[in-house]
Amino acid sequence: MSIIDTKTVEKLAKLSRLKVTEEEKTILVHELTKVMDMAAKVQSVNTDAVQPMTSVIENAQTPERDDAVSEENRREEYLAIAPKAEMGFYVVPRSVE
Amino acid sequence: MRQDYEMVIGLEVHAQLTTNSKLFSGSSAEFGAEPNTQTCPVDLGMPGVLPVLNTRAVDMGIKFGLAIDANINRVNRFDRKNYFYPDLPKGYQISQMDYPIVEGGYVDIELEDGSEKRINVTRMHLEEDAGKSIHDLGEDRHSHVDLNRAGVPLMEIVSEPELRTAEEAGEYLKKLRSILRFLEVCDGNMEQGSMRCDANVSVRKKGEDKLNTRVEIKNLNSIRNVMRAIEHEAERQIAIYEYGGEIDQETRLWDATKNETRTMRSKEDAHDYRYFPCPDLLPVRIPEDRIEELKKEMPELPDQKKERFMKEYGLSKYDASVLSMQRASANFYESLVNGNRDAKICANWMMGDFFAALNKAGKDISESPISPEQLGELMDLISEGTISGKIAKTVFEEMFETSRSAKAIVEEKGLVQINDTGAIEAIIEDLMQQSPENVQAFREGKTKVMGWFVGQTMKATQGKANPAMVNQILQQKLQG
Amino acid sequence: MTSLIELSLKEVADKLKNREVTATEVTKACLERIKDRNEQINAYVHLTEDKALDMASQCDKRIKEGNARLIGGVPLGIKDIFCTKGDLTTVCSHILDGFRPPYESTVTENLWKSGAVMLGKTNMDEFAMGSSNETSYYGPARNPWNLDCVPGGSSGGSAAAVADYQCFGATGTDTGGSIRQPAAFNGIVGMKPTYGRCSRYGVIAFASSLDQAGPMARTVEDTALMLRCMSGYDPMDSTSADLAIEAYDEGLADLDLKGLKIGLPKEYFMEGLDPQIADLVKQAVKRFEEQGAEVKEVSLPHTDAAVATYYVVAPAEAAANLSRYDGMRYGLRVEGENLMDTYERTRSEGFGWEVKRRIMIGNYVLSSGYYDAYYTKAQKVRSLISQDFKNAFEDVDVIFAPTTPTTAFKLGENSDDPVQMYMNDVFTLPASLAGLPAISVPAGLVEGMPAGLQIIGKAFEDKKVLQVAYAHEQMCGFELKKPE
Repeated sequence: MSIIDTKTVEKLAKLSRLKVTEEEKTILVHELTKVMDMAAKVQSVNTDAVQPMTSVIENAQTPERDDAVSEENRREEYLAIAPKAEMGFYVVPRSVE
Repeated sequence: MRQDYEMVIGLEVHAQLTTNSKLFSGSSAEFGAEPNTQTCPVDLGMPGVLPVLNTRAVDMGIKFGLAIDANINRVNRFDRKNYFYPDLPKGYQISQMDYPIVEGGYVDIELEDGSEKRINVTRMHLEEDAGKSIHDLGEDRHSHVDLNRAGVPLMEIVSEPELRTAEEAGEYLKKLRSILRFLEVCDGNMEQGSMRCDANVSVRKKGEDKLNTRVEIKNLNSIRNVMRAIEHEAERQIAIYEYGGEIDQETRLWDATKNETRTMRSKEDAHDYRYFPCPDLLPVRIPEDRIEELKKEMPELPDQKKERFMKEYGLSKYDASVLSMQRASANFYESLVNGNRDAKICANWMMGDFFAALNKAGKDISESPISPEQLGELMDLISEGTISGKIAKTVFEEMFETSRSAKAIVEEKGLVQINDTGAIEAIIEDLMQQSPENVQAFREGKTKVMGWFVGQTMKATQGKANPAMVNQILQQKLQG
Repeated sequence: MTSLIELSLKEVADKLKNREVTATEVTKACLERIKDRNEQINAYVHLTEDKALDMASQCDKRIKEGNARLIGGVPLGIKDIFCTKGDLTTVCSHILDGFRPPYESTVTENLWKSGAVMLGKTNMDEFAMGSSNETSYYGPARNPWNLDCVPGGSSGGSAAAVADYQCFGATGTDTGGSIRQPAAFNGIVGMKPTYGRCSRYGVIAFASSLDQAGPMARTVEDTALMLRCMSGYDPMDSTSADLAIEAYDEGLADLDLKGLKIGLPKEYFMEGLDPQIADLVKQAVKRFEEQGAEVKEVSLPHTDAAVATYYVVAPAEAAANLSRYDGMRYGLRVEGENLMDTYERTRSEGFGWEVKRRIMIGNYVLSSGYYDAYYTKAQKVRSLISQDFKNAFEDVDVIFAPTTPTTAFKLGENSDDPVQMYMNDVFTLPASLAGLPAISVPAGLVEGMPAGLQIIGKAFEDKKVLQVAYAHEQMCGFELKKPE
C-alpha cells in the first residue's frame, strides 16, 4: 500500500512541474490518498501469467511510412503562435545557469 | 596512470541516421538548415498530432544489428522517456527501453601492439533526437531553441563495460564509426554531432572483479577528447581512492579547453524518467523475409574487407587493416590496383606518399586532388620504367599540387628515364677516365665507391638514368 | 409543423439535397437558437459564425451545381478537443488560451468532406477529464432537461447542444464514457466506436490508448450517418484500423431480432445502480425478448476492478500527454524567475485542479518504485477485463447494460469527492478499457430525467451495435423533450 504524505506530494508536484501551496498540499495528501486507495484495488486481482495489455489492438504492428520529406518550411506560421520568438528561434527562459 | 589500477569503461554512442526524413514525421532530417525551418506539428509537440514510424530507420537498425552479429528483436517497442527540457517539445522522448531493436553483438578491435580484442555490445535502440538550445544569443536570461534536430532518428549503441584503456575506447569508436559509415547509416562526424559519445568510467585495483561506482562523462565531441577525458577521469578517481575517499555516482561534463571534468548532475538529481510503452505506436514486428532482404543489401564490412585484402592482394594484416578502415580509402585502393597493378607497390604508395600528402594538406581522402586513375598512371610509368621511383616522388608532389596527369608532367619536364645502354655506358666511361683513383680503389676491394659512381651518373643525367641499368653497367665496367 | 431545428440530421440532409431548404437557412436557424440559449446552457465555448455561414454558402453552391454530399449543409457542433485549422481550440483549458492550430483533425476534415458545416466549439471538461462538464475553464454547460443539473461529461457541451436543438449532431470523444454518459444524461444517442475506427490525429490527447472519437445525435440513424462521415483509416494515426468505411446508416432495420443473443452482465446490476434505471434496461430487454431475441446472463468478473484500472492507466498516459503544455512553443506562458519557475507557474495557472490531480496521479503510478505495483499491474488487469468480454461474447452477440448508475446529478453535487465522481463511469469504463464499440440510447425517463441503455458489441461490429440500438429506438417510444 502506498502512503502519500506531504513529501510525496512535493516530489510529485516537482516531477509534474506544478507549484502547489501549503494549503493545496494538505488537500492533495487527502485526495491523492483517496484515489490511490481506490486504485489499489488492482493489486487485489490475481494476475498470475497474465500479460500486460499495452494496446487493445492485438497482434498488430505499427505502420511504417516511406522515408520521404513531406513537410515544407512553415516556420513563420509556427513561430507566430509561440509566446516568444526572435531570429527564427523559440525564445525560452535560460536553461543553463 | 598507476600500474596497480585498471579502468572499466563502457561507452554509449548516439549515431544520427542519414535518413531523408525524421523518425516520426515527414520533416527533413538534413543537417545545417536555417533554425526551425525543418519542423512540423509532430516535431513541435503540438496538441493532438501523432508519430508514424520511418521504415528506413528500422531498416538501418536491422542492418547495424546484422553488421555486429547481434540479435534482431523480432518484436520491439517504443517507450516514452519523460523529462522536461525546452528543446524536448513533447516533454518526453520516444525511445526504446524494455524491448530494443538490437541486443548483443560485438565489435572487434585491433590495438597498437598488434593484439586483438572483442568488445561486446549490450544493445542498440532507436530513438528521436532533441532540438538544440543556444545560450549565448541575445539577452542573458534567455536561451534560443532550434528544433530542426528534434525528431531526427538516432541509434543509441551501448557497449558492455569491457574497455580497459583509453586506447581501447578510441579503437572501439573508430571501428564503430567505420562500420556505421560502411553501412551508410551515419556519417560519423563527431564535430558536427552526428556521432556523439558518453563514457561511463570507473577504476579498480588490478585483479579485482567488482565494479566500483561509475561516473558518466558527457560532452565528448571527438575521439581524442573521449580518450583524454577518460584518462583524466581515471586519474581523478584514483587520486580520490588513494586519499581514502569515495566516488559519487554522478554525471560530469568534459571541458576540453580546461582539460578537466566537472560535476553536471549528482545522483540525488538523477532523473526519474518514468518510462512506459508509447500508446501512440504499436509494436514493431520484423518478419524473417525483411531481414533476409536486408542481408542482400549488406555491404562488405571493414573486417571482411581486411580479410579479403590479405587474401586477394597478399597484404600484411597491418596494411590491410589500415586500408580497409575507411570505405573511401578501401575503394581508392581497389581502383588503384584495378585488377592488374602491383598490389604491394600500390599499398606502399598509398600508405606512404599519398597519405602523408593528404595529412599535410589536412584533407580527407574524399577531398583528394588526384584520382586513383591518376595515381595509377604514375604507378604505370614506374613499372614500365619510364621514370624511376625517385623521379616519381617529384612527379607525385606536383600532381598533388596541380591535379595534372603524371604523363603530362613527365613529358613537360623531360623526366623520361634514360634506358639507352649506349648513353649510360658513355657517361660511365667518361667518369672512369676522370677519376682513375676511384676505379683503382674499387678494384682493391673498396666496393663502397660504387655509391659514388651511381651518384655521379645520376647527377650527370639529372636523375633520369635507369638505376637498375646504371648498377648493372657499373658492376660490369668497374670489375673490368 | 416541426420547426427546422427540430428535424433529425437525416431529415435535414434530405431536405437540403432536395433543395427544400438551403444550408444558409438551416445554419442561420441553428445560430439563432444558439444565441438564444447559450447564456443558459453554455454549450458552445467558441462560436465560429463567419466560418459557418461561409461553409453553408459553399454547400449551397455545390448543391445548386448538383454536387450534394452525404451530409451537405448540415450544421454540427464540434467538441473543443478537435483541432480545426485557424479556429480557437482549447480543450476548455486556460493553458491553451488563444491556441489556433495550424492543422486540422482527420475526423473534422472527413466531416467537411462530407459537406458538414461547423457552428463552433462545444463545452467540455478540461482536457476531457471529468464526468460533469464542471472542470471546464469556461464554466459548466447545463442540462437542458433541468438547468440545475449537469449535462455530464466530458462531452457535456456537445450532448446539451444536440438535446437543445442547437445543432443536428455533434462530435464527442470518449475515453472512459465521455460520449455515452452525457448522451444518457441528455436523452440523446452517443456512440463510442471500436478503438481505431475514428482517427485520433488532431484530437487533443487525454489517454491515447483509450481515446476514441464518436458521434452524438438525436436518433440512431443520425448517429450512424455521422459515424460513416467521421470514420475511416488514417495513415497519420498509427493505431487507426485499416478497414473500409461502412455505410453504417444503411440497412439499420435489416437485423433479424429472432435469435439475437443478448447478454446481461450480472456484475452491472449492483448496489449503487438506481433501481429505476435497472428497470428501464430490463424493459428494453423484454421488448427484444418479445421479438424473439434470447437473453442470457453473462459474467464480467473483473468489472469491480475497472475503475481502479482506468484511474491508473488513463492518468499515466495523460501525465505524459500533458507534458507538452510547457509554455515554450504555443499557448499560455506565465513568465517566472527562471526556467523551472516558468514551467511551474505556466502549468499551475494553466491547468485546473482536476487536471493537476490526474497528472500527479499519473506521475505517481509511473515513478520508480510504484510502476510495477500500479502501472504494470493495471495493464494486466486490463487484459483480464478485455478477456472477460471475449469470454462473454462467445455466448452472446451484444451486451445490454445501463449507461450510468444514476440520471444527471445536480451541479456541485459530486465535486468534493473525486472517487465518488469517478464512480459515475463504472458502467462505461470496461468497454473503453477493452476498446469495444458501445452506444448509449435513451431508455426512458426516471423522475423526468433521461436514462440511457448501453449496448456493447464485439470489436469492429459497430454496425450491429447500431442496428440493435435502432431496433430498441423503434420499440422504446422515447420522446426527446421539445424546446420551450
